[in-house]
Amino acid sequence: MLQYLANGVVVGAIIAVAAIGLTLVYSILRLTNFAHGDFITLGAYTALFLNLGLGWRPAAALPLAFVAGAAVAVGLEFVVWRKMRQMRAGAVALIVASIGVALALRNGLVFFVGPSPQTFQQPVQRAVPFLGLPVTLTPDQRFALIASVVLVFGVHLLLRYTTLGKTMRALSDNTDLAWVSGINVDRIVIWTWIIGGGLAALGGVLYGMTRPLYPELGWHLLLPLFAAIILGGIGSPYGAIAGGFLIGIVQEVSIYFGVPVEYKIAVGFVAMIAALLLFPRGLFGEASYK
Amino acid sequence: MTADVLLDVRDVSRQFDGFWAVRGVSFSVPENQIAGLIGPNGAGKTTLFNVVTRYLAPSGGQIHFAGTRIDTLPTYAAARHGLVRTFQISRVFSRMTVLENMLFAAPGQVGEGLLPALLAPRRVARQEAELRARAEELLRYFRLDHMAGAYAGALSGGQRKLLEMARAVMLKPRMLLLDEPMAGVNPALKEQLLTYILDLRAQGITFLLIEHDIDMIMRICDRILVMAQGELIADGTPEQVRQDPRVIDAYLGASA
Amino acid sequence: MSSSLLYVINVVTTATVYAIFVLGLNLQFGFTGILNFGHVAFMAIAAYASVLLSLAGWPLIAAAAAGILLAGAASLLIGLPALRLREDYLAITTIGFAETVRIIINNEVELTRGPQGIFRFPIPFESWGLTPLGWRVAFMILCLVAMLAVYLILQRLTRSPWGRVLKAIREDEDAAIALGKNTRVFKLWSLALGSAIAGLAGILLAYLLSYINPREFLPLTTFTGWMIMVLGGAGSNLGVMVGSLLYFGLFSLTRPLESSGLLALGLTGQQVGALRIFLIGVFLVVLMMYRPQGLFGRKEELSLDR
Repeated sequence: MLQYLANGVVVGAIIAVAAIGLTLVYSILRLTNFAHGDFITLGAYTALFLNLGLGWRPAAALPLAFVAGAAVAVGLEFVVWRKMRQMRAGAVALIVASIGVALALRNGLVFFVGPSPQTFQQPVQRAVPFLGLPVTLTPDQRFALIASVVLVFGVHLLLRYTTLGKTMRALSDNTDLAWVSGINVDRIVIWTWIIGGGLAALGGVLYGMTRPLYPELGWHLLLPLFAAIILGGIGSPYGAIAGGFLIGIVQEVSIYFGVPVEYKIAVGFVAMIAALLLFPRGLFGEASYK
Repeated sequence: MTADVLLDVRDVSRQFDGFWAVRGVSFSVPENQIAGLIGPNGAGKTTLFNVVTRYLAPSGGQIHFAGTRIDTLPTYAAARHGLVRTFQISRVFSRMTVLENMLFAAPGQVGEGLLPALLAPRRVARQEAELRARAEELLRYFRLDHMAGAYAGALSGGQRKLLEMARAVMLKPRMLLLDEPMAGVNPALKEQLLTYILDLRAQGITFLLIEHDIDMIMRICDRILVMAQGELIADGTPEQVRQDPRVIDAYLGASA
Repeated sequence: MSSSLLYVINVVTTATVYAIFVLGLNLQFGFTGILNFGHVAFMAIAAYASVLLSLAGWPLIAAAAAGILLAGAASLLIGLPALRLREDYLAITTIGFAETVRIIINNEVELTRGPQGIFRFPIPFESWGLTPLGWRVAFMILCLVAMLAVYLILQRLTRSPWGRVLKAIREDEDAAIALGKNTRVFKLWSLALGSAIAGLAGILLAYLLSYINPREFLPLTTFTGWMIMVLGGAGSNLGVMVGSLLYFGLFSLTRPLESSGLLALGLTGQQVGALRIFLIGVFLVVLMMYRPQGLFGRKEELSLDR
C-alpha cells in the first residue's frame, strides 16, 4: 500500500506542476484552457526529440522544453487569445476555441510523430529504496518527484516575493479593478503564458520520465488536472498543488483497493464530482456555481 | 380600518462568512401600501431585498407572504405566490423580442409543459392568443407597444426599465419589489415611473422600493423603513422619518 | 457508376445521422445554453443498449425505443448533480462523464465485448431481401425521415412556450427564476430530450456501420458535432442540417485528394487522419474568432457571445 502511496505522490507532484499553470491562466485570463494538456505533451515530446536525436538525457532537456512550451503558449496568445479578448468573446467561445487549439496541437504532433507510444532511450533503471522507507522508486521517479517539489517551491517564491508574482496575484484576485489600475496588463498576460506553458512542458518531461509517451498523454491528463484544480479550488495556485497531490494519490491508491487500472481516469473524475458536490468552493477557491 | 398584512418579515438576519449584513429586521407591509426602504450604502438593503425575494436564504428569522411562509420555499416560488421583484440593472432578455419577454412572464401557461406543447398545439395557440392580447394591452399602457417586435437588447435604458416593470405586471403580482427603480433614470422618465407606481397601486398592487433618491421616496411612499449597518433603525411616515434623529445620524455618520 | 452512387448515398446517410446527433446538442446548447461536451456518451449508451437487447431477442423497434429512453434517462445521472455548475465546470464534468462511460464500455467485456466490439446484430430491412445498394437506399430514406421527424418536433417545441422558457434560461437564468419559472426542471427536460435524440443517432449509426465498438464513441465525435453546430449557427436547426451536409460533403470531396494527392506525397493514412482533425481544430478556432454566429445564426442571436 505504501508503494502505491509513493507512486501516487510522484504522479501527484507532476500533476501539481502542470496544474499550477492551468489555474494561473484561468485566474488571470478567465480562460479555461483545454489546450493545456497539449503543452504538457509538447514538452514531453521536445525532450523525446532531443533524447532520440541527440542522445540527451531527459533531465538535460528541461530548459529547452520550458522554452518550447512557453513559446507555443505565447504564440497562441498573439494569434488567438489577444484577438478574442478584444472581441470580448464570451466564456463559451473561449472554451470552444481552446478545444480547437487542443485538437490542432495534438494532431499536428501526431502528423509528425505518429500515434504509437515511445519511451526515452536510456539505460535501464532499477527501482531503489527511497529515503529508507519500504518503498522503491526508480532514479527517474525520484528525480521527477524532487524536481516537481523544487518547481512548486519556486513558484511559491515567485508568487510571494517578486513584483511579478504579486501583480499576478492582484490581477487574479480582483481582475476588474486591477485591469483598470494602470498595471501593464499585456506584459503580465505574456508572463502568465510563459509560466503556464513552460511549467506544463516541464511537467510533460517529468511525466515522460515515469511513463511511456504518446500524443494523447496531455489530453488524458486534462481530466485529472481539472479534477486537481477543482478540488483545490479553481483559481488558487496553492489549491492546484494540494489538489494535484491529492488526485495523484487517490488515483494510484485506488488501484491498491482493487479498482482496475483502466478505470484510473474514471476514479479521478469521480473524485472531482464528489469534490464539486461537497465543496463547491474547493479547498481554497471561488464558487463553482453561477 | 387596518388593511391585511401582505408581507411579514420576522426577525430576519443574514450573514456572510461571519459578517452580519442584516440583523434582526422585522416589519410588515399591509396591502396596498407603498413602502420605501432607504439607508446609506452598505446598510444591508439589497441583502434584505435578496432574502425577502428568496434569492438568498435567511440565516435566521422567517418571512411570510399572504399568510404563507416563504423563506423555506425555492427561489422561483416567490413569484408564483405573487411576490415579484425587478432588478437595479434591468435584466430583460436581450435576444428575445419585447413581446416574447412579456409572454414569457405570464403564469400558468399550458404550453410550458413538454407534452402539451407537443401534442396539444391548438389549446396552446388559444392561450397564446389570449396572453398576447393581454401583453399588447400592457405594452400600450407602458407606451412600449411600438417596440413589441424589437429585440429587447435594442431598447434604451429607460425603455428597459419600463419593460421590466411591464413584464413584472404581466405576472399578476400582488406585491412588487423594485430595486432602485429610479437609478440612472432621466427626470422625465422618473415622473413617468412615479405615475405608473401610483396608478398600479390604485389597481391593487402593493409596493416596496429601495431607493437612494430621497426626494422621490418622500413623495411617493406612505411609509418608510430606514436601515443602517444591517439593522432597522426607523419605521414610520415620511414626516416622522425625516425628523428622526437616528436617521439623521446614520446619514451624517455615513458621509463623515 | 454504382460505386460512386454508393459513395454519395453513404455521405448523405452519415451526414443525416450526425445531423440528428447535433440537433439534440443544439437543443441543449443552442436553445437552452447548457454546455454539454459529453454528448457522445448518450449515443454510445443507446447504441449498446439497443444492440444488446436486440441480440437478446427483443424486436428491433422495441430495442431501439428502449435504447433511446435509456439514453434520455441516463442524462439525468449527469444532469441532476451537475446542471447548477458554471460553464467551465460543466464542460469538464460532461467530458469526464462521457469518458467514464466509454471506459466502462471498454472494460466490461462480458457485457459489451469490450474493445473488440459487436459485429453481427439485427438491423432494419433484413428480411426484405434487398440488394446491398437497395438496402443502403432504404436505410438512407429511413434516416432522412427520422431527421425530418426530429426537426419538426424540435421546431414545434422551440416555438412553443416551453421553448420560450428555454431561451430565457439561456439569456438570464436568474431573471427567469425571479419571474417564477422552475428552471431546473426545464433544463433537465432539455438535457434529457437532447440526449434521447443523440441516442437515436447512435442507434442509426450502429445500423449504418453494422458494427459498434468503443472507439466509435470518442470525445472527437462530440467535438465534430460542436463544430457542425457552430458552423451552422448555434440555435438554428436548419443550420445544423445544412452544416452537417456541408461538413461531410466537403470531407468526402477531399477523399480523392487523399488517395491521389496526399497519399502520393508519401503521407500515411494516419497522417491524413491527423491532418483532417488538425483542420477541424483550426476551423473551430477561426470560426470562434471571426464568425461565432456561424452560417445561419443571426448577429442579434449570437449564442456564443456571453
